[in-house]
Amino acid sequence: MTIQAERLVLLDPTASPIPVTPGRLAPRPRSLAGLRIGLLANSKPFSRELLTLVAERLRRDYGAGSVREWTKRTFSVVAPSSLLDEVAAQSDVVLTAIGD
Amino acid sequence: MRDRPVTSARLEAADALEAIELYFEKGWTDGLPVVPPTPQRVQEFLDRAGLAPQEVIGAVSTRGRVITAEKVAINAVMAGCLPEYLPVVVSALKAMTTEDYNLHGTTASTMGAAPLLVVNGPIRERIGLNWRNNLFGPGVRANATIGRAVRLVLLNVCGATPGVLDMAVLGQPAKYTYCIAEDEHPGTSWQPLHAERGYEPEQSTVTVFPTLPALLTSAQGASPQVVLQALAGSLCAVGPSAGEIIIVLPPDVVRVLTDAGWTKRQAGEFLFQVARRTEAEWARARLAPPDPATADRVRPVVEDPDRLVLLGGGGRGGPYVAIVPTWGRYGIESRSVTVAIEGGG
Repeated sequence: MTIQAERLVLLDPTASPIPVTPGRLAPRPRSLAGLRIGLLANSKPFSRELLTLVAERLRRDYGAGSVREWTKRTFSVVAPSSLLDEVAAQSDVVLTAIGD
Repeated sequence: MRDRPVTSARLEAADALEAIELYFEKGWTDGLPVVPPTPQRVQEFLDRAGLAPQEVIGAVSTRGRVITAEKVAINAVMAGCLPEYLPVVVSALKAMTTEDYNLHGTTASTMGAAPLLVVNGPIRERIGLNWRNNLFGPGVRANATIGRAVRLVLLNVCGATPGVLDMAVLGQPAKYTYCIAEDEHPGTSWQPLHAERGYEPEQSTVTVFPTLPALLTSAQGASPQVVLQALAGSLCAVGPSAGEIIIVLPPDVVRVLTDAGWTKRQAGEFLFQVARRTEAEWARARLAPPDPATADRVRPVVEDPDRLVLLGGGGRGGPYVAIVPTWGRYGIESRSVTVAIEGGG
């Protein structure tokens, strides 16, 4: 008769993120000609300047239309829905970036 | 509480040594061995604190993470806590999951903030927290394991894995564990932190600060003015970008203040008045961007005297003071949060 040593039962200390239903991507425009560009900067130094530089290239090289800027209150907190709604309502395409 | 069993996934090991290695392999530790969390031990922690396993302690909405009492208890066992420490860990996590504290930003930052827990009230003595010699460690189980339990929850439940979401360039040893009790009676007329923030002295509380590495300085002097002028110089070395600055004063320094009849508030107000420089001086020290238009304007090291947080703590034997700046603009990126400790007295 073999004596089975009792195994130690343990608990998993981890938790996984709550699954979310992914949103649908907005349809990609065929051309940028005349479209309104929205810039959303993250409040880090030179974030506005970098986005503005890219937007100017889009206007010069792809005929994009007007450019409007917004800046988050802080880089480390998600932009509030009200800000995102405002940016989306006034833009045809939006340019944002993550960085330090 | 035993009719609501723990529901976390289970795994097995041959014995405790194998369990310790298993948890290393799974990436569930802070780099140090953990105490294997058995269902019985975890249940004991929850029962002692009067917590149901699925009770929600807090959430990190940016990351889609929910912190349950069960997961806190598991990580507290792993940290080496005793059951009576759990209410402090739970309360600290409640503070950290408030919008004001900003758990997501403080634990992701490239600067690398470490949450400092400061405990006030009767629970300090009841569970054996240290506020004297070697205040910041090492040596005392309650301080070491409560701080560690918070770190393990951040790692295992909140996704603050180094190099994945925790992007600190240098990190700091305080990220292993960082929990102190305040010395509430280092001299006469000394008001402890929680009383300053409106709590009754008999109410136990924990305050969490998102901190950057501390600076050790010396504040020798026979009068409050001399001592505080010395501290003002060290505060200015930190620069004007900290949200709050904690100043931990040992008994040998507090006595110089209180023997002269000064209160904590008076000391803080005096420091606020003297710890200031012109914008040109801040810029010359590379602590603020240069701006010729405002060069002569005087700016204090913090925006408000309440942002200088004086605490009693440390042993006898020298006038050594710790200056601990916090991460982020006050009230914008983060700020300290104080909560009452429930369930522990």
